[in-house]
Amino acid sequence: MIAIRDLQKIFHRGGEPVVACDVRALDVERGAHVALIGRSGLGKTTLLHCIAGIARPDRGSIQVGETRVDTLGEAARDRFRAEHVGLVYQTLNLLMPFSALENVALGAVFGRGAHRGTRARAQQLLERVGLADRMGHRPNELSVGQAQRVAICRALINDPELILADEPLGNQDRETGREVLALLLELAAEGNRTVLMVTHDQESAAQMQRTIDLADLRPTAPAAATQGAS
Amino acid sequence: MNLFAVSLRNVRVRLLSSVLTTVSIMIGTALLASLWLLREEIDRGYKASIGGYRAVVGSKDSSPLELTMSTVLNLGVPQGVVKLSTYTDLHEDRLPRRCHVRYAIPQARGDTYSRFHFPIIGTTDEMFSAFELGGKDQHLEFARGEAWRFGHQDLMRVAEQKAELAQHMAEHAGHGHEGHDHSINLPASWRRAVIGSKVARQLDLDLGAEIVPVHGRQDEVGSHTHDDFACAVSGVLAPTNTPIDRAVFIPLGTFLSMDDHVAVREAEGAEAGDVLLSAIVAKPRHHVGDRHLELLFQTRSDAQVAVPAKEIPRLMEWIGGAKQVLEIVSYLVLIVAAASVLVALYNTMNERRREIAIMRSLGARRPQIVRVILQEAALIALVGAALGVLLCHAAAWAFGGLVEDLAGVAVDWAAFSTAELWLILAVGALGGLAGILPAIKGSLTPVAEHLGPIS
Repeated sequence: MIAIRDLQKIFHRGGEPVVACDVRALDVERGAHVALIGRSGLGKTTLLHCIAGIARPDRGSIQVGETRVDTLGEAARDRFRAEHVGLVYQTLNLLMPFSALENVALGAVFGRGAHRGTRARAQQLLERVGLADRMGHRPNELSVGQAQRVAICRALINDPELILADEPLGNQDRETGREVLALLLELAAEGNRTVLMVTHDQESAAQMQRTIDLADLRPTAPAAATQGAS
Repeated sequence: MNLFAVSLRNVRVRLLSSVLTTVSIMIGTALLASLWLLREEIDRGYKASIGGYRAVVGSKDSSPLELTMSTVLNLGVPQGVVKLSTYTDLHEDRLPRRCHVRYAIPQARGDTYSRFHFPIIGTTDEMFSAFELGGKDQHLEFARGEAWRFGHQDLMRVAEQKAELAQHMAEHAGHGHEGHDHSINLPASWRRAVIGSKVARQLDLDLGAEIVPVHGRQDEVGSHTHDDFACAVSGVLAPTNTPIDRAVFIPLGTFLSMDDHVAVREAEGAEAGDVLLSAIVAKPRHHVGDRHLELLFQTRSDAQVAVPAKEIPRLMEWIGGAKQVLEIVSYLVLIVAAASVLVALYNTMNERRREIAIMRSLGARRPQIVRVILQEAALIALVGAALGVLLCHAAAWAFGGLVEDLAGVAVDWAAFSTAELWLILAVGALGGLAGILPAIKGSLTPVAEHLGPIS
């Protein structure tokens, strides 16, 4: 599903180039649930952004399914993201003026395009995550756990093959986090979706099928560690 | 849920800013629409008004424009007077053939009625039977009642009586007759008035109501009421949307009987017993008869001819200069209002970066972001413009009377035009243009930087 080779993303800070992400090789098969761990500053979020097409790597290749993401132009990367990727963030990133139902539907408006069945699909997803009575509520009227469930529904509205989650449980207490993660993995498994989740939490990482430490993917890492990651 | 709904929600979320920019657009549009409405209505009103007034014969003491404004538009009173002989020359076709008229109707002015200063016009019943407001045989119509009777022959009799009285006075001067009643006999049938539709509507007058003429203008120094000359309303004219709607017509015989009118005329140099008129409204038979009349009276000393069809465009040209300045100011106000849309939206772009980044992360393309923001700008401008046009018509409804007093024509507040629809669309497009810069700025928001903390 995901095949990354010799990826490097460089940011310029104060005129100096800073390597934000450096990955020798990473392979994730279709339907796998993978935790991506590593100390801060290694470039976990940057790697997710490169896979999603939000950022473009300065070097290397990213293959997601049939698509070579790194060679796509901006508009094509937007389309790719809209059609194949669902994003879930630690900070929820829901749009405040819109209700839970509208936030989920917006995923379709900006994604594959809203159609007659979009509203029903959004309702169905929210009912599935136990928010049938919260559809009209705005994000600030929801608990953190409820808002994160809305974000998961939004990520799933376009029926993507790949879910990229950036510390989705970061703002929640342990119990809520456990429930939300279980729900995310359950919904992902239903569609045989691949999940790549950045986390600092060992307990969450343990619930995934596989854990990869980004430090092991760096070109300077020992060969054995890199082998294990791929 | 679609992109328009997203724009609409964004406008609602920033309600205060949206309302303020909408109001600024509304004021600019209302100003421009009001000027357009005034121009259209005054133009239409003036054109409609001059229909029956092919030529106005009046004193040489007035300018042709003054004669036209006072006689056709009921604005002011003309300076000087014309003698009855001038009228009879016209009425009885004593002038060269090319100056012969379909009608010559005498008018005497100077009195008003009510606090609205509706002009009282002393005239003959030819104003209702012969005067043609628009085309041929298009006479004034009555909504209720009928015209009073005071025709040309009656006027001639009044003139004879006045002459006899004057002669009698001269013969018996110094013989103790000063205290006697010298007024002419005033039949009850002359104590009648025909009122315009606006007079009836504004003062809620109907048939039988009593009109007491005020010499001058009510509440002004020197004005007084002619209590002995109260006239009962015998007819109410149908609306013409011309200054006739705000006029009160009484028999010229009644007007001439009022003592102080005689005194005023005599003070203006007339001899005792003369019947003096403010103006004569004429319609030549010949298609260029007005020009012949004009030329003829240039050689005579007793009167001059004003041609409203020439004077009104001159007046409009004069007004046009001031109007043009106001129109430029209105365009500037609109441009400033559009700039306020730009500034308001541009300023929100910084606080909306995260929101835009989220949309982009969901797959929104740059053109979609541009479209959302342009729609917001256009929506604010369209709503503002539509409200502006409504405000303009509301103002026309509220201040129409004031405009009528100043310009002499009624403004139809309900006269919506296609130009206004185009104005709304143009202002909407202007708003859209104003949204281009903020939209470009918004669409260039770096997505990764504004999505949240980086791990």
